[in-house]
Amino acid sequence: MTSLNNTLQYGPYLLCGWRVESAIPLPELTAWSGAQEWNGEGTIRIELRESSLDDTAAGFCANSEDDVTLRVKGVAGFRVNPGADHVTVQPEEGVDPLLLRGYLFGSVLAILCYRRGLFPLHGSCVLLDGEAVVFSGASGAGKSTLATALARRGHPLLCDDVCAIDLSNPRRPMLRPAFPRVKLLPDAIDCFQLGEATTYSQAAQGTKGHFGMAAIQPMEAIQQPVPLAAIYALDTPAGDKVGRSLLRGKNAFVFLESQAHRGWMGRNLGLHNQLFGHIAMLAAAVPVYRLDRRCALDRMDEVACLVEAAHSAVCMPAGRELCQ
Amino acid sequence: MTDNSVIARRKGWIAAWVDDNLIMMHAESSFYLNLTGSGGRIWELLESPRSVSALCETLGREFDIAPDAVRPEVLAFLDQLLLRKAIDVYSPTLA
Repeated sequence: MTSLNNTLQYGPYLLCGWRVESAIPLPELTAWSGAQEWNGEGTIRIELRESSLDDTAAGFCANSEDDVTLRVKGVAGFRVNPGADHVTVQPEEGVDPLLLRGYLFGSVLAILCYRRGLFPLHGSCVLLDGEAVVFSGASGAGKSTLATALARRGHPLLCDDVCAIDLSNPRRPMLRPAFPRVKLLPDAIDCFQLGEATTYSQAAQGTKGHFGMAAIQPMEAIQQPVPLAAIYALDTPAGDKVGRSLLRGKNAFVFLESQAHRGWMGRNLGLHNQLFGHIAMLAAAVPVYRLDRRCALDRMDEVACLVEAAHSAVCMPAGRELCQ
Repeated sequence: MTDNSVIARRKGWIAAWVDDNLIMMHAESSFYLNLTGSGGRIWELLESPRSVSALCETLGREFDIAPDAVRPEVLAFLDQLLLRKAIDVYSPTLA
């Protein structure tokens, strides 16, 4: 790679309430309209560098200058400065741009959240009746699929993978929307018939790295922070039961702790206290439900219906929790 | 540990209530503790170092139980905290 154009020619974009200027195109993000000066937080600049700079760095480290570096073999090196307003990307030769953006909107966004005082929860999020509802859980648990099922029913998608939560008011946690795209595996894309609205990764079809980034609907992206109404804990679907049960106290805390996006990075940044405080505040302020559901992709609407009913403005009569 | 032993929180622990649980974390090791029942109240009372007997008196008053009746459970709980390096126990100074 000999001639990188390092001009911040793309954007400005909007990401989690931040203004972003970039040397690489970020087509998933919505444009900064200038009407979002609500938080006064500084612009984030994403620059390009030759990949040779960090040849010695491997994995994740917070170096002596307090920059954070993350190196993903075969993809890129990423560096975030202490003020979290400057990201340097060092792409490897021939990297798939979609894969690179996946790390930018995943691990790097999580670092930005930690350093900018937000809590990055691993999950997918939709807007239901004016409030944010997050589906959280380990990779493969079905977070993005369920969020997509709800988005297909008209509920705007707020973010996928990293859910940036602002706990500056501990009693009213707010979700800061990222962008209305969702990362899905090909079978889910086919099931939801989203093929035409999807950008696919370059990895060959049928291989592990093959995925798509799908735009769900031509709905305008939600730009303002929204109150967080609930978090659903998803584990591997099993059985034939559809329903939800409240996790309380320690159980809610332990689940949220397990789903802090790259929580180990937050701890390596020396932010133990911030991380602990955010998890405790979140567990105390927002209900965390365990969601029981069926495994089958074609029955996802049934689960979506349950969640929809639970967050409907019209209260469901007692005993009508389950979708009929 | 005796009635006169003075109990103090060890540094480095942070704690927060989540519902009826007091969840504690040791910042450096990321070791977690979950205190239920009156355990959370004992940790609160240990904000200032105090003797075992003072602790039992306060708890007895708050829960309307004789201090002698709460002592065995308090001592067992403090042993657990000591085992997990959450408290220090100081013997009374001989005058």
